[in-house]
Amino acid sequence: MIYLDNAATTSPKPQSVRRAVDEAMRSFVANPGRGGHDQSMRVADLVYNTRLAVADLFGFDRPEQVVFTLNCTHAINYVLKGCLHQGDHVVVSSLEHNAVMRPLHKLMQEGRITYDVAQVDFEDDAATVANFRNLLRDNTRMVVCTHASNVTGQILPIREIGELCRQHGILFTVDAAQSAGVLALDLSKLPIDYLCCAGHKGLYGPMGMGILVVAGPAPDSILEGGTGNLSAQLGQPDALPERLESGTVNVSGIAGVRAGVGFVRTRGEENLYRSELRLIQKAYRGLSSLRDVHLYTPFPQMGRQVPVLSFNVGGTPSMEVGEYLNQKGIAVRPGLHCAPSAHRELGTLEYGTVRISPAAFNTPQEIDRLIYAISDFLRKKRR
Amino acid sequence: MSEPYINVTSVTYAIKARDLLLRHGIRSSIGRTPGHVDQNGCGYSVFIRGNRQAAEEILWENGIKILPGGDSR
Repeated sequence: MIYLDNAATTSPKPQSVRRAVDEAMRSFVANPGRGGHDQSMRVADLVYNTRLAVADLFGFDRPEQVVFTLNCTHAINYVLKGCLHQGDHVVVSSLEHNAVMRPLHKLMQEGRITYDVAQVDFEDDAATVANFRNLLRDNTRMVVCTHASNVTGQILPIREIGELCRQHGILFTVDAAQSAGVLALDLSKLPIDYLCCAGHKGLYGPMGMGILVVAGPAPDSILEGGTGNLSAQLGQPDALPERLESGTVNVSGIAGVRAGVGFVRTRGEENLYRSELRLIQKAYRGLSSLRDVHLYTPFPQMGRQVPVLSFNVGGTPSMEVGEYLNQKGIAVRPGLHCAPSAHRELGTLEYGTVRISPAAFNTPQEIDRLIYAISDFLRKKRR
Repeated sequence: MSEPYINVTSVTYAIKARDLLLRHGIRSSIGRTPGHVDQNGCGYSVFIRGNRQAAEEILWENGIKILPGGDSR
């Protein structure tokens, strides 16, 4: 199988990640932060060292404020439901994933918040920032913005949007699901309060792992329970990470994330990004040479797009193209990618798009096979 | 010889404290707070192999909350 669905989860995982998960299942089986026995303390060290590795990757000096979650969606829910209060207003971009939109929609339906959607200009970052600025109100408490669209790959100007938030005393949350491990994210320089990402995408860890980096005020808990500390108190502990980590953490997943971060550091984020973007550029050239293939973005450029590309083939529903490619041994992601807002922008709500997203282990030959398969599909359609 | 210890809020802060103290030349180990469970419930402590006061100052300066009740074991 040629796997081009890495924006959903990277596959295969690096050998170092598989080994780390296996090793954790053999040698790090105890509950960290609970028992005081040696085995528990070894596991606690493993978990803490992973916090350190993640903090270091993101230029963040408070590893205790790196929180492990189930996935990026879980991290975003923590931020939205743990920070927003009755009467708050939120501004989001027009390219947000349902990980952002659904919790916001629920909060709005409950009458707790209101939100507005800022249009993303595909060509002009200043216009995008102005669109955010124009929607700010006196009661705007938070801006939530994807770093890069999971549909188009478009990178949003998060530095400028974050600076806008700082100027107005507004919390800034970044959904880095598609950018963590691909684009450099330095929280010592970027004005971000909450960075949410998956552990299993660009960080190459196991599925079921997400990360919330809390640089701003600690969100209130939305899930309470045992944390192994201050256990005589019925109130949830104030301090991170335990405040947001009730119950036993996913130790083998955390071990995998640590190895995944190590893989990214060894390969180098920029090297990974450069080689993956080359594959997307190759795909773009190949697909744009085919009659009846529709591409939705300008030619992908470093700094403008992450390695994600959406297209359609004639008037064929994306699901049909995806199934054809599946039969040819190529895994892509058709449909709406849990981001109807972005598809509304593209005018593709009815049929969705076919999305390809390479990662570290993809090759130019695989892109050739994709192009050939699409051209073969078109030939058959024309018969 | 008794070993002084400092109570902290969680295992995360215990590990952070241990690593921090080591960078300042103070060796320590971490474990469950000894003795009976106090009003806070289960907790973690940093066992200092050196000057407890100097260790406390380093932890305070670096924002690590110290819980009451630390002693020697």
